[in-house]
Amino acid sequence: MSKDIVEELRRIVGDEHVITSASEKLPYKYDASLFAGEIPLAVVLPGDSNEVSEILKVCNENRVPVVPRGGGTSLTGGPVPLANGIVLSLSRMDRILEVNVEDNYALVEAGVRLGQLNDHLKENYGYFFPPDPASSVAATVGGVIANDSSGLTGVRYGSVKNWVLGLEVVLANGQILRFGNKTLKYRVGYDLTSLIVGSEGTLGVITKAYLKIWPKPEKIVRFLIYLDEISKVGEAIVRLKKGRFAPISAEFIDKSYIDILKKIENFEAPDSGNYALIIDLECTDESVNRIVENVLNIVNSLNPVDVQHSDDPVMIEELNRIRKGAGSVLLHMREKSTETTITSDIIVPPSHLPSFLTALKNKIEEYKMLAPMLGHIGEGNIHVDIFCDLSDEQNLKKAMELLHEMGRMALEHGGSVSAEHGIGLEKRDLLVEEYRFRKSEEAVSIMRQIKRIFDPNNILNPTKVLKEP
Amino acid sequence: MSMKEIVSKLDEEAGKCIRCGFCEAVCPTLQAKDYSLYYGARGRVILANELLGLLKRKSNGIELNVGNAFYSCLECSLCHEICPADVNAGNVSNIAKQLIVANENIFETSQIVPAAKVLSNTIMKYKNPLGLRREIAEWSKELKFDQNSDTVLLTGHMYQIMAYTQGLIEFFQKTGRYGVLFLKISEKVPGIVRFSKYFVDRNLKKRLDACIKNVSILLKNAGVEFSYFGDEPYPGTLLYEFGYIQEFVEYATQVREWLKDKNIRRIIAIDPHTYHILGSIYKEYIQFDFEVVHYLDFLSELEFRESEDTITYHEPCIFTRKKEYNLPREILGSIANVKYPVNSGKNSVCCGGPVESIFPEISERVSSKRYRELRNTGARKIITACPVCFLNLHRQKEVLDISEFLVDNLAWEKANFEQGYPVYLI
Repeated sequence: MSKDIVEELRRIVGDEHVITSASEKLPYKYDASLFAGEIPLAVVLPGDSNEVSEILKVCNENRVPVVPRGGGTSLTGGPVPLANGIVLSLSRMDRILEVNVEDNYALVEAGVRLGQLNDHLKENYGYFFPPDPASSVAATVGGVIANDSSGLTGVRYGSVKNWVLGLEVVLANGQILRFGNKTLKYRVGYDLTSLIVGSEGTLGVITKAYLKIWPKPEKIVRFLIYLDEISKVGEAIVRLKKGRFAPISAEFIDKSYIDILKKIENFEAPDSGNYALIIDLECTDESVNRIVENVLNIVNSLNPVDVQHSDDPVMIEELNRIRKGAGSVLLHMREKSTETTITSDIIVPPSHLPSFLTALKNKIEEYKMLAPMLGHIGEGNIHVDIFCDLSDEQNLKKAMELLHEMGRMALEHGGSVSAEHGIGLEKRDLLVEEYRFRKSEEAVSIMRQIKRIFDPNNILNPTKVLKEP
Repeated sequence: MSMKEIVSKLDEEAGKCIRCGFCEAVCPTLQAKDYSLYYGARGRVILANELLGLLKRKSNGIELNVGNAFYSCLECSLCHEICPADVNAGNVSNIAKQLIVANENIFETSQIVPAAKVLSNTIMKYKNPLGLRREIAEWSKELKFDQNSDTVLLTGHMYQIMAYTQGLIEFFQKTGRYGVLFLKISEKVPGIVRFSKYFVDRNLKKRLDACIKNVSILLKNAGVEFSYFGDEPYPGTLLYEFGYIQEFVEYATQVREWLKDKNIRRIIAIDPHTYHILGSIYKEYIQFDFEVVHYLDFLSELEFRESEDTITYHEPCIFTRKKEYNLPREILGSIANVKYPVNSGKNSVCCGGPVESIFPEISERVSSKRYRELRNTGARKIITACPVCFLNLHRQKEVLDISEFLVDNLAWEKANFEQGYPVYLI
C-alpha cells in the first residue's frame, strides 16, 4: 500500500523530489522545538501548486497524513512528522512572483524565506514586509502565515494576519482555492483568509500569498535603556505610550540574557543593569533631536542605570542580529547537551506589565528553575525560557508545570497563553484551558467543526493544535 | 586521535545546536540539492547528534547512512556566521568524517565516499592526489631560483592539479557506472589514478601554470629571494578534509622533514588552502615552526597602473572566515574600481569547489549561483584568489586569477628584472 503511494508521489513530482531513505528523512523529525517527531513515510518536495494539489488528492484518497513544512523554525512542534504520513516540504516553491509598490503588494510562493523577501524588497524598492519574527532569516512565508507570527515589530505593525491580503490554498481534497485578493480592502463574505492564517497547516496548504508591503521608515532612532528593577521595565512602556510614542519595536532582555550576550557576543552593558530595554522609534532628520529629547525626559524619570541612543543603521542592524539570536545564545548556559529550554509565549495588556512582570519573577523564583526572560514588551508579549533536562522526567514535568502556571497567570491578567509561536503540540491543553477560563469552551467545539469541513478525513497536520479532530 | 577524543570533539561542536534552522537559510549545498535537509547544515548537525546517540548504544552494525551528508559539506563555514549558538556545521562534518574514517567497521556499510578513499590512498603513495610528479614543476622550467634561500615557494600543487581534475570529473560524469568501476579498481590499485594525466585540459594547464609563473614574476619584481624545488610535496590538504587524520599527521610530519632537509625557515604559499593548512592546521597536530606567508604580503612596494576596469572580487571562504586575509581586497581596491556582490566579506558564498571531485553536480549548482551573484554586480571581470574558485567559476567567462590581473597591471616601466629572468609577455 505505502509503496504504491510513494510511486504515485514520484510520478507527480519526479523521483528526485521524493525522499524515502531512512537516513535522509531523519533530519525532518525535528523543528526548532523540543519535540521530536517520527520518521515519515516519505518527504515530498513539490515544485508548484498543481503538484501540491495532486499530492493531496493521493494522500486524501489513501488517508495518509500530510505535515506541511516551511523553514522548520517552529517552537511548538507544528511541523514534526508522524510515522504513517508524509512531510510536504514547500522549500522548492521559493519564487518572488511579483512586486507592485503602487498597489502595495508582493505575490510570493510559500517557500520564500522572510529574510530573502525583505532583502529583495529593500534593495530594489525601499519597501518591506513589516512582521519580523526572530527567525526571519530562515522562516518561510507559508510558515509565518500558518503560524500568524509577529516578532520584534508587533507593537507597531501587529502580526502577519494584518499583512496578508490574499492566499492561494490547496485543500485536503486537492482543490486549489483563492481567498481574499490583492486589493488593500476586501469584504466578500466570511473572512476565509484570516481563518487560514494561524491554522498551522491543519485546514489547508498555503502555496502562494499576496502580502501587503510598506515603504521602509525613513529613519529609526534606537534607545538602549538599562534598568535595575523589573517593575520599571513595564512602567517605561506604560509611560512612553502615555507620552504618545508608538515604537516600531520595544524589546527587553533580563540579566541572564545580558550576561550571556556580554560573554558570547561581546555585548557591552553596565554591570548594574538588570534589565535592558531596546526601543526603536521612527523619525526623520528633522524630528530626531526632538524625539530623543522627549524620550529621554520620560525614561530619565525612572532613574535608569544607563541610557544610550543611536540612529546609526549599522549599529541598529547588529543589535537586531544579536537580539534575534538571543534565544539560541542562551543555550551556552547549559551544563549538558540534554538540557534545552521550553519557551513560554504569554501576552498581557501592556498596562498590566508592571504588576505582571513582578508576579512572574516571583513565580519563577518559587519554582527555583533557571528561566531567563525576554520579549516583545511593547505589546506585553513575554518569552520565558525555562531550562530543563530532557533526560530527567521529573525536571521536564516541573518545567511544563511552570509553563502552564505562567499561562494561567497571563489569563488572570487579561492576557493569553499564546501570542505568536502557535499551539503546535506544545500548547494544546493550554488552548482548551484558555477558552474554559473565558467560559467559551464551545469555541473549541466550533474549531473542531471547522476542521471537519475543511479536512473531513483529518489528513492535514493531524494532532496539531487540537488533540482530537 | 582516539575514538573517544573524536566523539568528544564531535559532541562538543554538534551538542551546542538547538536546531533553530538559521543555518539552512545560507547553506549553499541545501539549495543545490533541492532542499533535501540531509544535504543542509542543520541536517548534518542533526545526523551527527543521531550518530553520537547510536554510538552510546552500539559498537558495530550502525545502519545510519551519513557519509554523503558529511562529504557533501563544503566546510565553507557560512553557517557558522549566522549561527547564534556558535555551531559550525562545517567543523561538525569534518570531525564526523574523522570518525567515519577511523571507525569504518562500525558501520553496516562503509560511509567513506569512494573518491575520498582513492584520492587519499594516492596521496599517501605518490605525494599528490592524482599521482602527478613532473607535471607539478613544469611551470618553472624557464625560471631561475635562489636555491640557497631559506624562503621557499610552495605551490601546494593546487594550481597544477586543477587542469587534470576537470577532465577526470567529466570522464566520471560521462561514463556513469564505468566511472564507479574505475573508482573501485582505484581503491585497490591507487596507481591507476595516474591515468588522470591523460585527461588534462592543455589550455587550462597552460593558463594555470602561467599563474604560478606570474606569482614568481611579482615576487621577483618585489625583490624577494626564494627557492623552489620541483619535488616539493603536496601539503596533504585533502587528507585533512576527507577525515584521514592519522594519515594526515604522518604525512604532515614527512612534509616537515622535507622542509628541514632543505633548511627552510619561511614558506611562501600561493593559494588559500595551502596557506591555511600550513599556517594553521599543521600546528594543531604537529610541531611546525616555519613561518608561513602569502605571496601578496610582499607586494606592497610594487607599483601598479590604475585599471579602468570595473571588477568584482570573489573572496575565498578561507580568507573571509577561516584565516582572515584582506590583502587581496586592499590591493585590488588600490588598482581598480571593485564592486562587491550582495554576499561578500564574512557573508561571501562558496564557489562550490571543495566538493567538486566527489559531488560535481552540487559543485556546479553552487558555482553557477555564485557566478550569477558576481555578474549581477555589473563588473566586467571577476577576480579570484584561489585556483579552486578559479576552476569552478571560470567555466563561465571573464574570470581571472588575481595574479593575472596584477601582472596585467604591473607598471612595467618600473619593473626591475634580474638578468636572465624571462620577461612576461602580456
